[in-house]
Amino acid sequence: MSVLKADHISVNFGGLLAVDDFDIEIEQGQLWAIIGPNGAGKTTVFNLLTGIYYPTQGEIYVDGEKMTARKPHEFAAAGVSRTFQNIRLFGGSTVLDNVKMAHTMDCKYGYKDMIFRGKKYHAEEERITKESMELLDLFGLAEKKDFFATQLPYGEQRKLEIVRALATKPKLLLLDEPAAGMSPGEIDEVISLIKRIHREMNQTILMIEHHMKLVMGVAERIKVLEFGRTISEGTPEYVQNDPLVIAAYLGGDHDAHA
Amino acid sequence: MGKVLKVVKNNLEFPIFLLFFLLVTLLHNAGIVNSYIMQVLMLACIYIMMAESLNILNGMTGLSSLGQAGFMSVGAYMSAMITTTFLNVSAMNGVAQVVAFLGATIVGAIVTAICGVLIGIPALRLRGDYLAIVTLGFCEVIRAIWRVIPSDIAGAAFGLTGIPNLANFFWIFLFMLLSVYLCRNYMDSSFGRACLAIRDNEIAADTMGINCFKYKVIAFATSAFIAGLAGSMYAHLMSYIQPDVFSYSKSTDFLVYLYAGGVGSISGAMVGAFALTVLPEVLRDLENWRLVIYGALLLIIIIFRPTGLFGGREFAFLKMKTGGVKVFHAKTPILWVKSLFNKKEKKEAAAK
Repeated sequence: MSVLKADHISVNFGGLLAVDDFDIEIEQGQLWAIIGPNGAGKTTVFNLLTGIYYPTQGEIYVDGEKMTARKPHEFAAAGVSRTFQNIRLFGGSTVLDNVKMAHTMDCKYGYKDMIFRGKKYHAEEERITKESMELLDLFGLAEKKDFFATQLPYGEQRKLEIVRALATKPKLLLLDEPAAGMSPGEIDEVISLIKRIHREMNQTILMIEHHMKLVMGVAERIKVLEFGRTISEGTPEYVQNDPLVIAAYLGGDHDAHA
Repeated sequence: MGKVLKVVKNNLEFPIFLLFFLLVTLLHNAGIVNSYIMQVLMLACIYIMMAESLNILNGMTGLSSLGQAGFMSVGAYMSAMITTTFLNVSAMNGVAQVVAFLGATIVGAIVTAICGVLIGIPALRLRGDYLAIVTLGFCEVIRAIWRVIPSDIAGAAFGLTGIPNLANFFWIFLFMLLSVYLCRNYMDSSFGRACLAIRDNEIAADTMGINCFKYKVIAFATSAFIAGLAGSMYAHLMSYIQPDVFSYSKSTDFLVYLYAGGVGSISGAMVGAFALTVLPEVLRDLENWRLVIYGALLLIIIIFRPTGLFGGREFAFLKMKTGGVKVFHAKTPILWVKSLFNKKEKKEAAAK
């Protein structure tokens, strides 16, 4: 069964067809990428796949369960977690708390246990702290656990967002431009990071990215969007040589005539 | 016995609270601390509860509420109506009085929490300033309702008189500590972290699986519950409540206590409410000048410590883990004063 299936979804903003007939089926363990020029509707697709926008047409299935018109936290509970293009960390909280906050939905004690602080409370808090620290340790952020999230350098903030998304133990991880605003050296680091998450943790990933080096280096399958429509789909080699894609990026016929 | 000793050893603040309580009671009985000072102390404790209750909304969850006095009035009226109108507690003997008082307090607080949920559900569709206006409206509506209810039940505009004076220093101090520890337990749990996440970034919180609506309603209910407790204590301390006591300006007072103390900090709410309740009484000898000085001190606090006296700090005894807070040491105030002078020196050096 596919981890995520979007069955011909479209969304209309007023008269603007932001995403038109988007179709995707992601299997466990795959690494997909969505590329396309600015304004092609890539982030809108992410917002549809996490419940921030509702599709005007089509259905979304996560792990076989119909998720159309569900709320973002229900998508998270079903196993879809994401990062944001413009970083959205919990800035007033520490690095460790940011990761612990992602454990809210798998926390097993109730209101009563919280007030009276029984055994269950202590056991769960210990587990959450331990798991969060392990994850931070894995990504080299452990010694910065007491920093406020906003005090981290830009690259580490992006990394922390990925760590936080992984803390929800997602079936599908959505990365929205993980390398935006990074230097070439940092991009190499992001490439190895994504490869590590994909291979070592066997994480299914769907990402949006502009850097061709990153996309062509890590993605197994690529979808190309332009003006909300899918114009090409396939392996990196196939997409790179597709005349439609080249036209979308470099300007096609009518540009040549001008 | 060994277990009790261990708990006391790990929580040295418990015997300190007990000693403080005994000392105050002893001094009061010896006539050194007069009833007036006792009254101020008890009011300060009640206002600490109110500041804590407001802190759950404004500080932790980032919801601005201007209607905290409305919640307080629900707790005050509900419990006072139970003890005065329905049960006539004054005619009971000692133990029954205390039981009735505690029962009425709990019932009052629970009713307030239900009120919190009821106004929370529609109001939480709104955010920021708009929510503040709705809570302000709620506060005014509640006040109008107390005026409309017939005078043989709730006293109407004249107010409810003859409430048995059952809230002594022991109960008020105890409920204040319970509220502070409830806030502490709340903040240091998945509930508190969910609230902080909503405060910091609601969309991100939602996509991390936090049901924002649920946690906001829980925050509203918890906050209203504490306000209800404080209301009951207030009614049974003053023996007389009237709708206008719980006006909008009371809500503003709590807001000032919280922000002067340090929004988001449990210790800050304690210090702010205590200091700003006691301060006007200390300045009483200055007559009309005391309001000028009170206002000027507030300005000084906000200009020199915009995050409040205790912004981002907590007392060590609370053992906070969440929120990235610094622990407040005895040395901390000395460091503040030093840093003020350092700034001046630096400026002078820069000017040269």
